[in-house]
Amino acid sequence: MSMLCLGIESTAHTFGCSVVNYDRGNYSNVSKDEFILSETRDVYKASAGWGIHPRDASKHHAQVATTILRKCLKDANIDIKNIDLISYSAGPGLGPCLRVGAVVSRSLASFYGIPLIPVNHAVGHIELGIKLTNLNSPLTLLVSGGHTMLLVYYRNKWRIFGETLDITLGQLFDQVGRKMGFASPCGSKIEELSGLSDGNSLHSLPYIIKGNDVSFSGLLSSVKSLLNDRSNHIYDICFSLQETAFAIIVEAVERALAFTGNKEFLIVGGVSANKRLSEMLNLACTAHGAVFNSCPLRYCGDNGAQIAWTGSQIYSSEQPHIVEPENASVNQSWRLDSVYIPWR
Amino acid sequence: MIREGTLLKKGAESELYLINWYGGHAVSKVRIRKDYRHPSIDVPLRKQRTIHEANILSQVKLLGIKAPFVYFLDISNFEIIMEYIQGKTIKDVFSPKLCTNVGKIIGTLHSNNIIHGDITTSNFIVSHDGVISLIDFGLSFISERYEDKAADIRLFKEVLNSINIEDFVESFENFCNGYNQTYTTVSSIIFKTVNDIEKRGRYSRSAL
Repeated sequence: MSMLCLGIESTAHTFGCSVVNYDRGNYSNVSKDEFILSETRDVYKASAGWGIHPRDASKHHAQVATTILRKCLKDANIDIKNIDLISYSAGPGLGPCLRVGAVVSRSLASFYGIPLIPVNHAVGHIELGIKLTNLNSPLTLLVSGGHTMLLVYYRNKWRIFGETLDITLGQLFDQVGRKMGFASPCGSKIEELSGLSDGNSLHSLPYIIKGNDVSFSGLLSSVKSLLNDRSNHIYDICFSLQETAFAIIVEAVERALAFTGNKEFLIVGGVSANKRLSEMLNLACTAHGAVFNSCPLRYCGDNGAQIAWTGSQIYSSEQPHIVEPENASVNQSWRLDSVYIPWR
Repeated sequence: MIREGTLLKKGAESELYLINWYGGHAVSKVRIRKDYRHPSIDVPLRKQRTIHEANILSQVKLLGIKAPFVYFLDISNFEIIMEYIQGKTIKDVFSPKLCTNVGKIIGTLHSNNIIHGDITTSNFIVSHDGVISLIDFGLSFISERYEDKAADIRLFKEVLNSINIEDFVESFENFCNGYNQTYTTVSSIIFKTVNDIEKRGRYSRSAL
């Protein structure tokens, strides 16, 4: 027996589909990502100096939806009629984008009579990360364009140990990148430019940590004014930005490690692709006797496999939350710590 | 009895050792270098936090709050030598009742514009005689702003909510009662600000 789940992701710039085999992921000794039968996505590209335009992005999603879905099923070598379950990302995210994914899944579910499950996008990030790194319940740092949160699992919920009080790490990098004329996401560009700095010319920037919470908005303003002064080298600014912003978040992680005594650490989300951040976190984990884990690069950005895997976990739990297609709505501000996790 | 030279606690940013200080016990708190941090960020940060902490430790004594006495400050070594307080943290002996006293202590601090910056259950020590001392002023600062006072309270609320969930409601109520007793004038405005800060959290509209 095998349970096949189709996951559809469309919270922000990515439209993605994926088919996972839940039983293969759970019972057999299949290693790593072999339970993911296929994973296809297409990412909306903003124009230079701009971020995601919600209407434009949703238009993109609607245009690529059928192609991506077809390719996904073809890659998995599966007919839609054999799918046991459809899950879709119902939030948090951009309304127009979320609705595209919801419409696609709703239509498929009602036409083929397949059960439908809404999934929280952030939970998707965490659950797939844990599955792929084979961990139990790690202290988890979720860093992306939409989230900067430190999470601890306790009694059927992911509890927020610390989070950003204003903008996220991804937003900080994107806004700085956009000011320099790049199109978001700008993380990799900033990492690249930062590598060109000699590493000695560090600008002093606001270092804000309030208990376990962090704040980046003041840092953003300061970096913007540094960029206005043409006598500053752009790569020194990028270097200073990375060093300061990451030091803040790593200090928050360190505090959480010291406080909870957790020996497993996991980073998930788009920003986990940054090598310097991984390096810094690794040093902090080692100092506290914890093991550093990172979601594999291929799956750290938004993708359908996160949604499919989480959806099938919900479906197989004691409280499968199945919705009728007519009730399959989206929630732009669906907070992670309000999600009940029955399977963990 | 703990031997001298023992590592008492390895915190996130510092190491605490039990040392001999002119024939008696003392604690040496050393802020350790962070390899992940660029030296230009690391050194000034550790220096500033060490000075700040010693300063505020001396100030809170005047308010009648139990906190370690500062014996010596060695800035070049990022080290504070201070009184050794015996007892257990309220994290280890937690009960909602203790939160009333925690609230009183924080209320007193706030009414004198001192923000602790790190009110977690592991920073309160209960002695054998039941007296609660407040430790670790590493993130403390002086501020009159309601915003800063509220952020301070929010952290404690967050800790209660993530660690002591069963007793959360009772514990936080006790905390508020204690706080009200020592900071009578504006506590309602501050608690309202705590709610405002929570609403600012990402995606928290759905939690309303």
